[in-house]
Amino acid sequence: MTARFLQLLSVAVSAACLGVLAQDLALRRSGDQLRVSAPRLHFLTGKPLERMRNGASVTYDMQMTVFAADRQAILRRGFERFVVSYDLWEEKFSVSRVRTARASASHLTAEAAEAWCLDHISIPAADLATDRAVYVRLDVRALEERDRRRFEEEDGISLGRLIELFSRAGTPAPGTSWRAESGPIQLQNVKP
Amino acid sequence: MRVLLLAALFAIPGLGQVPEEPGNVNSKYIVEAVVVLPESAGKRLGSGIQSDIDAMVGQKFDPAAADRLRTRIGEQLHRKVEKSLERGDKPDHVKVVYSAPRVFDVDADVNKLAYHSKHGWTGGLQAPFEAGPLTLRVGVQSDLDTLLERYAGYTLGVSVDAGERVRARVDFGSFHNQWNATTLRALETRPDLPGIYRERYIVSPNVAIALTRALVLTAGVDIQQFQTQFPAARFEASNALTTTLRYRRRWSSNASRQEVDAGYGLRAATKSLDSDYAYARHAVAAEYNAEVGHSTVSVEFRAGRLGGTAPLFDRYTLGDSRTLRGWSKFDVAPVGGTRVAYGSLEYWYRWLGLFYDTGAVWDSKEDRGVKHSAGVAVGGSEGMFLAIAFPIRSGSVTPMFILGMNY
Repeated sequence: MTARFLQLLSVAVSAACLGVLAQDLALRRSGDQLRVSAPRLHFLTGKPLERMRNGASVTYDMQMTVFAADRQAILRRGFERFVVSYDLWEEKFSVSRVRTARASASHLTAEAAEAWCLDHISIPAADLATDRAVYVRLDVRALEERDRRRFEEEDGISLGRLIELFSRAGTPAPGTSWRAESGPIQLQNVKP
Repeated sequence: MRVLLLAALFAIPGLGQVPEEPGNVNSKYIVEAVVVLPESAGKRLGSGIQSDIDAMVGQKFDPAAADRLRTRIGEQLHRKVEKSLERGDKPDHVKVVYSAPRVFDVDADVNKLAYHSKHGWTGGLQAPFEAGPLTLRVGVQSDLDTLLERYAGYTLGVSVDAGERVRARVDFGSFHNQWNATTLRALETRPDLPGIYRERYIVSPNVAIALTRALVLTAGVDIQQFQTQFPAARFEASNALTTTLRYRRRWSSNASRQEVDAGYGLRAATKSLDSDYAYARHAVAAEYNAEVGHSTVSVEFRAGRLGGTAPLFDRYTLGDSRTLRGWSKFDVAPVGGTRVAYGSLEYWYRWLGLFYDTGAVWDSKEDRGVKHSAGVAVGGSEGMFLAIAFPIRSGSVTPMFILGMNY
């Protein structure tokens, strides 16, 4: 009984740390790109939001992953990095995508800034089998101050660093990681 | 699994180095001021850093430069420094705030200034000197605010930090004591209490460990010797083990500042330390401050319990420039008490403050009488204030005038 309880408790704590809710992703196709939206996933919250309200910019790394039906084999993965800051006078958010082609938007509400980030991450899906069930997962991680400084001391951000960030053993600091999932789904059923 | 992962990763176009991060949206604003908190930390900064601070004012906010300055301030002060940005007083201007709070507090119990219309003046000043790794302190004080007696004399101290989280310290004090006539009269009816003393000497070595930045544990020994007057002049000792656990945390944003300061202290005098007294003195205190806009609210609670017979300096009192304002300690409990409970609520709007205090000091349930007071103050919740306080009771009411300094 006690062991079972502890097991459930550890699962609950781990889930809470990752911000895992029943936040299923809504998938859509845009040309040969697979995109997501998640209206219930809010990551401009907690300590990262506090840092932004104190005038700092916060770096968010996002990873979008397509898994095979066994949820083990990774079929496709995409990374993106966004920098979000909060305008102290206008009380609106400003977002920039910095890893691939740069894009930015400003004067956004928190919800609009979150949606803008998700609109600007995608992965190519043209060569993925459309008749097989897959799972799609979105991981969002706010870089902590020490991570950001460490990365800034190097010349830019390498892919290796991003892999390290998302693959790092151990539990991320509470309130800095979020995850949303969808599946199983066949890509042929994903509407544009 | 790893092979699959890497294969999938390198299938992604545009991998490799990514461009530098763009600037902060607030970098379009002009820096109106650069503030280093606490003020004492700002005064310790060298001219080089001060020049950089001056150069930042009037320019557009540069996040990278502000981060570099934070690193330099931290290196010079040997403290963790937090940087935040606040709206300036002028439109489209911002203030850069560097907060470098001490892990260990300044000696607010030594540096003090107060005037109570019934007790008179209380003052104390302590000057620290750096001597290599040691910090030396020399101070003088004359105080009728803290204890039943006025104690006047000097203090010496030396401390050394081992990293940022451990501090070893030894303090020495030598005081001459004067007693209020009300206390002397009351003692005549209390043969169960120890008598007065004319001289008191203190040696207290201790070690403070910051368990976290907000939680500090202090443990040590407090050796006090004092010259009693009756029935014959002789020296007695109250030697004790001491420990305190203090939690202090501040939160701040553009809209508000909050602070919680809570602690527990134990002074356990024991015969095994060659003490003439054996008792345990427990004290808890908690204070919460919130500042929103021009308004500041403070709530304070204190309680204490003394088990055994203790010298008069360890008995609890209420009714001074900080507690139960409006009452005199010699009217509340002229020989103090072994139990205390106290609460205070204070509200400030800009320079005008209102307060309500309530509390009781007692030895037995029979003489426990809860007292209340209220008043108005001008000045500030920090720094100098002038207050007029009224005891809440039936019959004639004599207001107390209090001049004080909040640290």
